[in-house]
Amino acid sequence: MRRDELALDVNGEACRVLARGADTLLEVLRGQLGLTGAKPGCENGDCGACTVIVDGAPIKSCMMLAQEAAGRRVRTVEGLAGTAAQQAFVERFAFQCGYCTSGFLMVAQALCEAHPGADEARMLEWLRSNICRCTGYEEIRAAVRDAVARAKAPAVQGTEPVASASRQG
Amino acid sequence: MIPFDLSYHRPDSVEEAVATYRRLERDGRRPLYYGGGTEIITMARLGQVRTGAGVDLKGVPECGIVERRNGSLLLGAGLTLAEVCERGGWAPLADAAGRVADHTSRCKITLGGNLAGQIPYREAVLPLLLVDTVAVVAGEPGLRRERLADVFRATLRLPPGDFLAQLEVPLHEADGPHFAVKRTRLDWVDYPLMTVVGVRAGGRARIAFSGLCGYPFRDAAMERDLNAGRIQDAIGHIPGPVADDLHGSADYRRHVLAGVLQDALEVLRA
Amino acid sequence: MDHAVYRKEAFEKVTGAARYVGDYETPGLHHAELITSPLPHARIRSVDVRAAVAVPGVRAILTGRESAILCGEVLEDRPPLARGRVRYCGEPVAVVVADCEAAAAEAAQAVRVDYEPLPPVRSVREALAEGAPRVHPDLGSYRIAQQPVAPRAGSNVADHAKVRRGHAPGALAKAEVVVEARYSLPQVDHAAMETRGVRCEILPDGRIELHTCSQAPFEVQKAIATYFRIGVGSVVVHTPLVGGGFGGKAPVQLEVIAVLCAQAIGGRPVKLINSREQDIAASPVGPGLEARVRLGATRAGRLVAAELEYWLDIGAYADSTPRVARAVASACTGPYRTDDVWCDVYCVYTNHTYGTAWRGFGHMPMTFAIERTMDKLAARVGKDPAELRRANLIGPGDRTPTQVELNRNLLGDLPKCLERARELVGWRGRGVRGEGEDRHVRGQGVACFWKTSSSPPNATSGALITLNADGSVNLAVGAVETGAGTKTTAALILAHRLDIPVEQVHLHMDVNTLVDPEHWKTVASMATYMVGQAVLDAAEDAVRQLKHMGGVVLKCSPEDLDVGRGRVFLKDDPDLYVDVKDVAHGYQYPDGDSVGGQVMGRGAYIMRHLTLLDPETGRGMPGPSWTVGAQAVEVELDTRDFTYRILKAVTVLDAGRVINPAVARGVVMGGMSMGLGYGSRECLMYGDGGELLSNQLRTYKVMRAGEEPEAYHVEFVETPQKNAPLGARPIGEHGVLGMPAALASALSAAAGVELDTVPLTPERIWRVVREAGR
Ligand SMILES: Cc1cc2nc3c(=O)[nH]c(=O)nc-3n(C[C@H](O)[C@H](O)[C@H](O)COP(=O)(O)OP(=O)(O)OC[C@H]3O[C@@H](n4cnc5c(N)ncnc54)[C@H](O)[C@@H]3O)c2cc1C
Ligand code: FES
Repeated sequence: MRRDELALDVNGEACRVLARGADTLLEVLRGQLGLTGAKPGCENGDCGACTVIVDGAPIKSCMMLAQEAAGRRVRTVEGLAGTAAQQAFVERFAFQCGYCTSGFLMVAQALCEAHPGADEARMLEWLRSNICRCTGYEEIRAAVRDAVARAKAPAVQGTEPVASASRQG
Repeated sequence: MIPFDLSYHRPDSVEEAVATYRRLERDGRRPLYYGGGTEIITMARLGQVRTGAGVDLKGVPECGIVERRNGSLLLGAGLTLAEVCERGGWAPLADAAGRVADHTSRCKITLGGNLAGQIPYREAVLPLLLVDTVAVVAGEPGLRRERLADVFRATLRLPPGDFLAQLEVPLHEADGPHFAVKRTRLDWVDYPLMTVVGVRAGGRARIAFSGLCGYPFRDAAMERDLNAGRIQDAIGHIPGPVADDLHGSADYRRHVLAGVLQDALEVLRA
Repeated sequence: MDHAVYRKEAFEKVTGAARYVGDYETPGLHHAELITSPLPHARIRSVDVRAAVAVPGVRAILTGRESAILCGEVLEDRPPLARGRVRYCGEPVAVVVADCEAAAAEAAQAVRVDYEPLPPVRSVREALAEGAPRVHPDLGSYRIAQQPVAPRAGSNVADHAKVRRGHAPGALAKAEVVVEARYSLPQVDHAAMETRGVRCEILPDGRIELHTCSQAPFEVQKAIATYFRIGVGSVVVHTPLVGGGFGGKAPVQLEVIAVLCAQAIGGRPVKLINSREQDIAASPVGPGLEARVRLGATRAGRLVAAELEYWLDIGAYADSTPRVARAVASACTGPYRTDDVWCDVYCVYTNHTYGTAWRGFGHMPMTFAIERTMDKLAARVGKDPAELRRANLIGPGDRTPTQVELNRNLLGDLPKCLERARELVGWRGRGVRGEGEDRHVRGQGVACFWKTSSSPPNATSGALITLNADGSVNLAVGAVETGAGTKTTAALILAHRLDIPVEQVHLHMDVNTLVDPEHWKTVASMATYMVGQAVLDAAEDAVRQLKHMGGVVLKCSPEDLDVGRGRVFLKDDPDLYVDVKDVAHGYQYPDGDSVGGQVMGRGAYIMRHLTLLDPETGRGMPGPSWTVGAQAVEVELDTRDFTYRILKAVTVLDAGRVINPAVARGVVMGGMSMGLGYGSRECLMYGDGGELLSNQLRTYKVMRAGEEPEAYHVEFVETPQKNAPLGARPIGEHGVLGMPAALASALSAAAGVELDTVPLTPERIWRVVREAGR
């Protein structure tokens, strides 16, 4: 089987991987770069667990060829640190099993960046792209609402690192 | 995982795209033009599509264009549906395209791919069928203009090796309110039970449908009935067998259609 | 205890650091890919693997012929790979093992199976019809792995459980009012976001190492030991974080295939992960249910008798469904007082995907049948449905169908739950119509539920505590973290007992059967109950040791001492103490001399006083307590095309004591979401030929954001259960139980017809309304 070398920009780092032409970005992120935060939940574009951000847009990485990502900026959940979205997901108990969480976080992050202060309708339209089987969605929507609001008020954004939130218990 | 390999090509001009395709074709690689790849990738995984090469059109500048020219809107076929919604600036199209799949998928699905795909709904085509849209087709001698109505009959019918580069939409034709509704079995994100898009042009309602039959269509007899307010007659004139599948029965589709058409006429004939 | 505590693994889960079984990829790890049946019922004429073997990288291809194993938790009726015939669409027929996923995928496509189609059994009704094709011609010869089960040779009935209390037929004949109704409810998928998967390696000494996303690693261990005839200790099962279970990861399936694969390649490591399509079609689902309910009552609406027949559509293999059948039998009347109860629960084979535990263990569809019939009874006797329920609620002093006499400890406070649920939904009674705008009408529905564990009477759980040199504690338990916060709750219980901050309790999120104490299965909502008891027992042991050391250091009797806040102190004079950290690893005197050693607490729990149900009467004690609750739904229905919005969904349940409120609420709400999903959209759809149509999330629809109720109301009543850790009652599954019934009830009220099945798509409602001529 033929695998070609491919240069990718992932989380701001230049990476070299070996991939078949038919390998998806999801497969390469997970199998070659060990970035397993993006999860396969359907490999069919339905669940959103594999969502990453490519050039600012949320993308289901199971529906992008790795080769297609060359020359574009790819960001995965591993590239997030101390974001308002992560913090809000913890504070709002917006996950249980955690399998869908990376995907939801990447949608939330892309939304915060593209539309800080997004209204409820837009928030919902973006969130409909993903499936969570554990929560009742109320928690996720509350978390994203918080994150989007914090993104609009940059003064607050990122002042409190996520890890400090663990103290509450 | 896709159970076979394919090569990926990203030409950056129309000529190169056509040439690349032809070369791969000659080499027996059974190439496919590649828009968003959402259908190619997902169907390839299941063995429903087999190709040796994808020729990505997103690097072709003509395919990424959004331009307004004297009353017309020029849209590249390589635009994603999300871009069409955010930047296209034509409400009927934004409404129709904005209900295909889900938002994240729409950041990947292209306008051209939606029209050319095998998945039968092709909802983004509906508003384009309501005005005399020009399809700018790329082929051996370069770009040529065709009426969309001529090349899109149920499916996009282009000679092998040609691709859809752009769509030119004469916005001025539709001069009244528009109507767009997608109905599903129940879920917001789902294939359509039916998607109905209408515009008013020259005082008459024009309406196109997806999900009702096995392909998207606009039908003259139905439009005549509708403009005369004869909803049941229009339903009787549906041009093919009404879809009867796991999304809904033909009976229920007809029932829902009556209500949707009533709403449509309220908007379009007001 | 009463404030929100984040999950211990919260930061792993928001950074992508949380690892699940499919997240490990190492050089040399082989990949296996299943070939599954496209037909529901067929004879396998031949399997042609020539083209597949030729794919470079392919190491082995296995079919059913290579092994004689028959699997089954209760009845051993299922070959790991189909042997001779396939019995459902999606049944694994062969498996390819290759050196990489791409080669495995390519080879799998190249395997050619020649089938001779057989007539499929497409429903319970067809299965029970005269002359129906036999799904298992050899039913009489299967080994029984776990009693009780009563397969009926020469039929499609895999099991029959009975309840006989009083004489229901006679009582019904005398009843002033009898309502009878039939229900038919489809199979349901677990649709956990993580599909099922496993890795396996066999070491040179024969030890089998499995990594699996199982809710029951210790059951996997025993099953593999049995099937492969090796010692239990020679099977080591590891379970990392699990991406949702809901019962679907309790059965043992892929693990057996993975061991066969590893054996075929000389023990080398191999990974087998379900695609979503396989996860829905090939791995087990929640059983469907057909029900015939007859309730007898007085004219005033007091229940006097119930005659109940339930047929579980268990699909092609029995798996744990005979246990589901007994759980349904033990709760068959719903939480209502009835003296004469006859109930028959049958497990019926069909050519559908096979069934297993699904959140609520059969109680969700059973509750649907009972609650819908209660609504019908209310209408018959002209009573408000909530009032009718209230008047019939089972209570202390009453007996359950399996003849357990109830008391407040065994049963929470159901009247209080129902009362509060009515308040929260703003109950306006039957037939709330015409309150919406224009063609929109509103409707409300209410449902009550109860459930006990129906666990084996000898289910066990254990806990081990070791102390660190800084006085913090390590806790090892065998329960799996599937998302319900089980591990965190265990840590909280320990922290509470030792009176230390929960940050001082460390635990690993995975389970390793070699080092962790056994926990039966992380199912039946029993993890907190069982693990909690074990943790308290272990804490007691550690405290005893600490007091002993404290006594040595402080020169007093251990009885004079207490432990808390990191100190061992004198009860009378807390200022006289020694820090736990100074005795955690033994105590060192100033001159260097030392005594004692590391403090290690061990705790164990085993269910007590549970009994198997009597095969003739059903008499027996199925679980340690019943969790009860009431649920309500309000909808707004568009009477033109029967689309609807869910305005409110309410759950009030008696949690005994709420341990981590935000987590508890989340788990209940998640259950409600799932129950509303089943009520409205979810179902395995089969075509006329018995082929499975909904094997993707594109077609098997689950709730998405925006489809949840406009308002969730979740509240807890707290009637502590004395024998439970901190008084906490099980709550994990319960949010799901009455939701489909309450939704159907609300929609029935709004539409003015009886909606007796799910999923209630607008089309379904339209059809019923049209047939009723409204
Ligand atoms: C999760 C999900 C949900 C979906 N839901 C809907 C839905 O609700 N409604 C709906 O209508 N569809 C739906 N679809 C189908 C979806 O619209 C198609 O997958 C999509 O339209 C394909 O577009 P693409 O750009 O990704 O095309 P590709 O996958 O790149 O190509 C599809 C086909 O079109 C051809 N092609 C692509 N671009 C051109 C061009 N410019 N000229 C000529 N031929 C071209 C390709 O050769 C290929 O044969 C859904 C898909 C997914 C993944
Ligand atoms: S794995 Fe990509 S959408 Fe489900």
